[in-house]
Amino acid sequence: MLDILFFGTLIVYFLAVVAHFLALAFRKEQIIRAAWAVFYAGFALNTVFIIARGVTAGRLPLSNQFEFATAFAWCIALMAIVLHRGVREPWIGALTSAAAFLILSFAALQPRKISELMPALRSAWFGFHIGSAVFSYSAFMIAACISLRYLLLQKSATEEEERLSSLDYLSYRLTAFGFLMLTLTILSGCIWAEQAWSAFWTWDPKETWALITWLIYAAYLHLRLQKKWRGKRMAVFSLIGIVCVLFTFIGVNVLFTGLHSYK
Amino acid sequence: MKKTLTFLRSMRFGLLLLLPVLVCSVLGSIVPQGEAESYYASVFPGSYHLILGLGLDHVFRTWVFLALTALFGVNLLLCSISQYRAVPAKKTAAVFKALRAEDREPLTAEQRNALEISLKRRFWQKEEGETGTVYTSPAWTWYGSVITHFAIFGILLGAAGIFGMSRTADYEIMPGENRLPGNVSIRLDDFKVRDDSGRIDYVSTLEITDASGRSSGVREIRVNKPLRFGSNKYYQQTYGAAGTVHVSVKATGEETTLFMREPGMISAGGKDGVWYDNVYPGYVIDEAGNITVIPQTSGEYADPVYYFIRIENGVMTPMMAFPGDRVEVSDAVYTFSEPVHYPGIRVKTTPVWIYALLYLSFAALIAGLYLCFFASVASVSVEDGGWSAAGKGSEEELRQRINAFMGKGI
Ligand code: HEM
Repeated sequence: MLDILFFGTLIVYFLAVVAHFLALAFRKEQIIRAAWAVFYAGFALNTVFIIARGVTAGRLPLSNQFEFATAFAWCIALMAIVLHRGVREPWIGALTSAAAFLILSFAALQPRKISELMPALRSAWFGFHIGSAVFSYSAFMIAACISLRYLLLQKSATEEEERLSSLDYLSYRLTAFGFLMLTLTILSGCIWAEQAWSAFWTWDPKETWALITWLIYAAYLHLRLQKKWRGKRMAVFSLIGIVCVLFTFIGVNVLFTGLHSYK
Repeated sequence: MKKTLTFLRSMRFGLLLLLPVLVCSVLGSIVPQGEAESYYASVFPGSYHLILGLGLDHVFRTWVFLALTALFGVNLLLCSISQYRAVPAKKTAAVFKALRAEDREPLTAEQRNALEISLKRRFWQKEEGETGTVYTSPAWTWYGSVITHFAIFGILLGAAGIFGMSRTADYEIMPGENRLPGNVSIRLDDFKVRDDSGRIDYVSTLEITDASGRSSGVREIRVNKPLRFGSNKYYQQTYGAAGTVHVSVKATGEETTLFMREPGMISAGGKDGVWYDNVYPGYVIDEAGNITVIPQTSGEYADPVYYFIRIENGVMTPMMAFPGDRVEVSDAVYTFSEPVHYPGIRVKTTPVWIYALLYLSFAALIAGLYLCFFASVASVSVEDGGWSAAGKGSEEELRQRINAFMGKGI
């Protein structure tokens, strides 16, 4: 049953991507609306799946790569939908639904077995630490989608200044939110690590890469707020940032072993 | 001198320092840290000389990395101080800019009322000027960036404190009384590997007595639930298993229980006795009646079996025993019992001020970032001719915020 829900979500996200690209090709209001409706449906299924898995496991379903990726895809969809209520911009639906689909595809490659929570993970900090990471990564992901849209739009060069700068601003706001969330993730991780393993910080690869990501985004914020960088340069920076996020999330587990890989 | 100071506190210097810090961090994540030399020789046969030579096996403890971090700390501190000193001027500038603005957003009497009520509710400070009224966001909103930067400095300082002053040591704690250095003693009452429902959960029940004789009372520690007592923190770190051998000396009636973690001689008189070899968690017997031990299981000792050598008058006899078995050697009786699981406890000593500083800085960092990104930091002048705002953020951003205060949608 859980598997049906999971693959159902995956398929519906895929349909949402297809519909969004069709909407881009034909620019018909009905197709755009239909594409969003499919994306909404995918989000709803994703929500049901997460709840069902949590109920089956009897705990927060956030304890391994599979569960994290499922929540990550869910949060991307959530933020895209919330954003869509205020901002109507072509490409955003296509890019964000593609992001949700790809992240969920990554989840599909992971083992789905529900396992007992190891003692180190049984903590009040668990939901907080991982929940804030999900929100942070998703905010960075949407910011990157908007930045990509910015770069595409900017290439066509005919676009009005105001529309570009509002995309630029939106991407920055999401990055700022993501940065706050990532800070929460790192700090709650420190407090938790000190309780579980006795040290606030051990430089294991996951921690190190979370710090690298945090520093990259700190540089982004300073270049924007202090050096007044805007537009294309910031959009490129945002794409570098998301590569770091994805490396922290996926690359570290694939390439390195450490406390966080729970192997 | 002044130039140097300006450079030291500049953001350019901060960004410049960031690059080598990032490079070190990437290297430190690629090369596993703190392994034995032989490990690097086998994993990186071509480059292990370079790795060891450059200290890449402990990047985050090399003087280069520590110096970079220290310089970053200096940069951050100087920068935070100058940001702190710049706040009043920024505030005044915003007030004047708002007051003097020529082109104002129109404001109906109703909107003006809504705006003023909203600003007062948000604790904006009201000042009456000659030309009109000016509201300024509360003092703390102007310090978001300052709080953020001082908090990060606080975290660096706390990290330095831990690096220099925090000590940890691991001890294997056996049932009963255990003496630790520094005149601390731990009495272990119980250690369990699973909870009542059968779920893995390592729980030690113990009582700690510190050097002054003060007792912690009987307490439980488990993974994620360390015990803070005095200036130490006690962690459930690992666990192991030990064979249990009771020795009873016939002549004196003396009884002792030994927990054997490794091979060793057990003897009452000094010469005769048993050479304890090992205890295995289980065994299988084949059709011919041969016993094969199972060296390791998931930590359970379902059918424990002891291997030992009986030594008497220079004659050595390899033997096996099951819990409950007794052997008599010369004037003593050796009884084997169920092996016990025992905890590995980590004792950490950290000055309390470091915890206080770190937790305070963590909270300040979150509060600071919240103020930076989500608080309105501005002055609004409200006149019959309309309103005008100045402060942090773009004009568009300010306009949206003020409109939101008036109840206009964004
Ligand atoms: C990794 C460490 C750092 C983090 C996480 C950090 C974070 C931030 C954040 C979130 C802001 C935005 C503040 C706002 O919106 O008002 C900011 C602004 C700023 N930061 Fe940093 N910062 C760091 C290091 C530094 C360093 C080392 C310097 C100095 C060399 C510096 C100088 C500044 C300045 C001048 C501003 C603009 C302040 C303003 O707008 O009033 N920061 N920083």
